[in-house]
Amino acid sequence: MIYFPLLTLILWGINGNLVLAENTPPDLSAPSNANQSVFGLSGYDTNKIADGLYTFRWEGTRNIFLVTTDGVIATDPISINAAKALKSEIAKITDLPVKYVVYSHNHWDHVLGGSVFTKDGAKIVAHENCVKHFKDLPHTDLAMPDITFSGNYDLELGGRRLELIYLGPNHGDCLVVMRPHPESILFVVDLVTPFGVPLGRMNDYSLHHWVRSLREIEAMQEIKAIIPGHRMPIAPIAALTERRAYLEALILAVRAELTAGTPVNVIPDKIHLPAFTHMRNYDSQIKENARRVVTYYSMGW
Amino acid sequence: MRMLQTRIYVLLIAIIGNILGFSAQAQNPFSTSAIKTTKVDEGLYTFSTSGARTIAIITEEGVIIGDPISPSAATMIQTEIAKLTDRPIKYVIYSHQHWDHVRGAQIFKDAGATIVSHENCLAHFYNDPHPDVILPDVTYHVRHVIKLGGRRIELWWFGPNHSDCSTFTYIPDAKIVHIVDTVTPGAVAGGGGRMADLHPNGFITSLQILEETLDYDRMIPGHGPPTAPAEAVTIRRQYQEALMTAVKTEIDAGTPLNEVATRIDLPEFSHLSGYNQYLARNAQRILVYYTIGW
Repeated sequence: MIYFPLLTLILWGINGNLVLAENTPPDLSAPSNANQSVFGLSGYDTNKIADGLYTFRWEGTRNIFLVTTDGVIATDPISINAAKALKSEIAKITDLPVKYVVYSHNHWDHVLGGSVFTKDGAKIVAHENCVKHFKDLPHTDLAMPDITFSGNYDLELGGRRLELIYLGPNHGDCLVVMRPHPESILFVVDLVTPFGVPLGRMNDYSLHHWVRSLREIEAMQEIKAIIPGHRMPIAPIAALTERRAYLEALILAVRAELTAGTPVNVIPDKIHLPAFTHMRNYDSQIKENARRVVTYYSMGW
Repeated sequence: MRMLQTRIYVLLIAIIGNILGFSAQAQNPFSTSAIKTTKVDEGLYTFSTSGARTIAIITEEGVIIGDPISPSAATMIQTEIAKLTDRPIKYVIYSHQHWDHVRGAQIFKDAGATIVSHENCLAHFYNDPHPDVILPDVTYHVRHVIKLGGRRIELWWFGPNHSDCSTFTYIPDAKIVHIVDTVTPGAVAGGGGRMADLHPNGFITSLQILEETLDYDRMIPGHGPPTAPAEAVTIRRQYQEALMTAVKTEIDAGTPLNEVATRIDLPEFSHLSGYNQYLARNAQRILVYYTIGW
C-alpha cells in the first residue's frame, strides 16, 4: 500500500511534467457523522463480566476494559463521543488512569476517539500491520499507535495480563482477539456477532482465513465464552461455532452449485441452509452472502 | 466425557476442512471453450476467451502476452499465437492477482517465458494460493520496461484501484494501454456491482495519474470489447467521483445509513451499462468505505 503524495512525487520524478487533471475530486475523508449505529441500538451502557473485567457498549458497538490496581487497560475507543462516555463510565469504577488503549483492528467503526485517552497519557497499542492502513487512510479522529507488535503480545498491568492473540489475516490483516487472564473469556471483534449471519458482502473478510481463524479459536479449549464487538455483552463459545458452521455450510453449498455447473447468477437463488434459518438476518442476507462466496471461487478474493 | 466430545469434534472439523478444499479445487465459473482473436494494431492482438480478455504483442525477437486467464484459455492462446508467428513467447504479464485472469501460466513458463507482476501481488499469491496460479519470476515497484525485438513495452503501477497490484501495460508505438478490471468501458463498477476488492481511496488518483502520464488513444480492457477510446477511462473516473461525492453528501446531510444507497441518483451516467442494476450496490460499497475505512 502506498502514500499518495509520495507516489505522485515519484511519478513526477519519472516524467517531470505531471499535472493532475482539473476537477473536483470527492472528499476521501470520513464524514463526522458516519459512525452512526447500523444495529438499531442507541445510547450506551457498561456491564461487569468478571472481577475487574467490564464491557462497554456504545450504540451497536462494544469494547472491554480491565481495571487493575495500577490503572486501566481500555480497548477500541469506537468514536470521540463514545470514548468520552467510556471515560465517564470508567471514572465511576476507579480513580486510576487509563494507561493503555488496545485496538482490535483497523476499521474506523471501532478505533476512532483514542485522543480522549492519549491526552491524559494513555498509550495506544495495535498490531504492526494496522499502521500501514492508518497511513493509507488517515482519519482526523484516529490516534496513531504508540506500541506495535508482530505475532502475539502480553500487555501486563497491576498484576493482570491481557493477552493479544494474532491469528493472521482474517478480517483485514491486523486483527487481534484478546484474552483477559485468568478469565476463560475472549474479546472477539467482528469475526463473529453471535446468533446472526454475516452482513451483506462480508466487508474485508478473507473467507478461508476467516474459517481458519474461527477454528483456531475453537481449539483454545480453555475459552468458554466470547465478548463480541457488536451487540450483546457475552455469548457462549457455541455462538462462534455456529458462525463457523454457517460459513462452512454456505461455502460447501456454493461450491457444490459451481461444481454442478449452475450459472453464477442463479446460484444465490439456489442456496438454502435449513439448519441455519433461525440465525438473525438469515432471510435478508443469505443471497448476498452466497454471492460473496461465488466471488471467492471466481477470483480468489 | 468432555474430552471425548472435544476429540470427536476436532475430528469432524478436520473432515469438514478437507471437504471444503478451499484452494485445492477451485474452478472458473465463467468457463467457455471458444476463443476470438482480434488484430488491434500492427503486431498487437487481443484474445477473448473464458469470459476474459488478454493481449499479445509480437516483435521480431518474440512475443509478450498479458494474462494467461486459465489453463484451457492458455492452451488456446498458445495455439492462436502459433498461427501468427513461430517466435517464442518470452514474457507473460499478470494484470493483477485475481484467479479469473492469472491461472494457467505454467505452459508458457515451461516453454521458457518469464512471468512478470507487480510486487504487491506476491502477498495475495501466498495468502490465497491456487494450484493453477504460479508465482511471477520478476516483480517491480512503480514502473518496469520490457525491450524486445525493437519494441518497448511499459508496465505501470499507479497505486491501488481494482486491486493493489494492478499493472497497466502501455504499448507506446500503438498508443494503447491494456487496463484489466479497473476500467470496463462504458460500464459502472463491476464484480456484480459489489466492486469486489476495489480500493475507493486510490481508484480516482490512480486513473488521474494514468490519464496525465500516458499518451494513449485507445485502451484494451480485461472484459468487454477489443478496444475502447481513451475517453472510457475518463468517464469511469468521473463516475467514481460523482458516486463518492453523492454518497458523502447524503451522509453529511444526516441520511440514515441504511437509506443512503437507495437515494443515490446519477442521471448523467445512466447510459452506462449496469447502471440500473448496480448503482445501489456500488453506492453500498462506497458507504462501507466512509464508515469503516475499507
